[in-house]
Amino acid sequence: MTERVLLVDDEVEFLEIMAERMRARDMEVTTSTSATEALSLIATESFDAVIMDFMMPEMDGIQALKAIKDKRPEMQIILLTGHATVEKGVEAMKAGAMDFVEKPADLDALSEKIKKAHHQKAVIVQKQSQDKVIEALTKFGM
Amino acid sequence: MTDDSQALAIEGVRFFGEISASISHEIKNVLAIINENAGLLEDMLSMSEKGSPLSLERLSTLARSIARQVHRGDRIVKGMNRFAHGADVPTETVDVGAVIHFFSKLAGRLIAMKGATPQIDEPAGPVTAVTNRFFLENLVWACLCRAMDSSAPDQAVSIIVDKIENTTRIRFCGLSPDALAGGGDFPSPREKLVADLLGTRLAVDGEKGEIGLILP
Repeated sequence: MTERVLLVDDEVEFLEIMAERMRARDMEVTTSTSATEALSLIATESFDAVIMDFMMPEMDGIQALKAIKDKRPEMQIILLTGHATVEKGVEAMKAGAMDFVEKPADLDALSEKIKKAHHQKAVIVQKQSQDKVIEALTKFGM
Repeated sequence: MTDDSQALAIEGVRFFGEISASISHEIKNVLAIINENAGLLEDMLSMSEKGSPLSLERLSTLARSIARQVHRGDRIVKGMNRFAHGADVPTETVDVGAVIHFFSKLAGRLIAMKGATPQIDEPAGPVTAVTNRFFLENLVWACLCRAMDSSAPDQAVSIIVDKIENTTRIRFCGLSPDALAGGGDFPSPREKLVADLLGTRLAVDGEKGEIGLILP
């Protein structure tokens, strides 16, 4: 099944080339140049993975990550960064990131993470459905 | 080493680190684009080996993108080099407008992250001052950060450089008086220390919504 990816970075050239390479690997890719725009997109569309730069204008990666997780907890977020530090990595993982990748990224390794994100999202969505059924059954005293 | 000179040394290293980290992010962005271009070339070669024809137009676009990023990387590294040499001499004659212009570009990503686009109103001719360029940049950055945090809604911070009698004045205008009054202590002891080193007067005018730096 095709992985659906939202790629967010304020570097337009990076976005375009990365998206082209991902599409050549049969992924369905949507691009966005800001976290604000990405938040609008996730409200109406579903993605397996959101790949997002850590340092962006207006809203940084951690803020955006928290906002996305708040709205769409099932979506898996992979943060891209120019300068990875252990502290930032820990902060990102605590805030709910699935992974943390340093730029320049290796697309083959990133593709593996996207496949993992696709699987993890499917598991969460399944659990959410089961929870809803259990909640409904409990309501009816069953 | 006295307490003050030790505090100044620590502040200098902190500031150098903050700006260097931001520059390193920019360099990584350049490398990331070159890396993706190289990856796309590999993908195209791999497809060509399987019989798909190579597009010369696409190759030309990739070559131009790589050249553009190399030029961009070179510009960033030159800026970093100029910044690093700011502490070479204790004092020098600096064109204050040019320093502000240079530094705003150098810290462009940090400024963009605050969602701000400061307007620099440069004087018609050079306005010079004899000072330490590194610590002047430090103080300008401290004022600009405070100004961006205190800017009035829908109004860009405006930086105006002018000469009054024998002094050089840098004004950060268009700030919200309320935000300026309520945002913690400014200047902080650290900023006061740098201002004292440069013999600079740092004044906050809450009524006008301005921060002013007056250089001797």
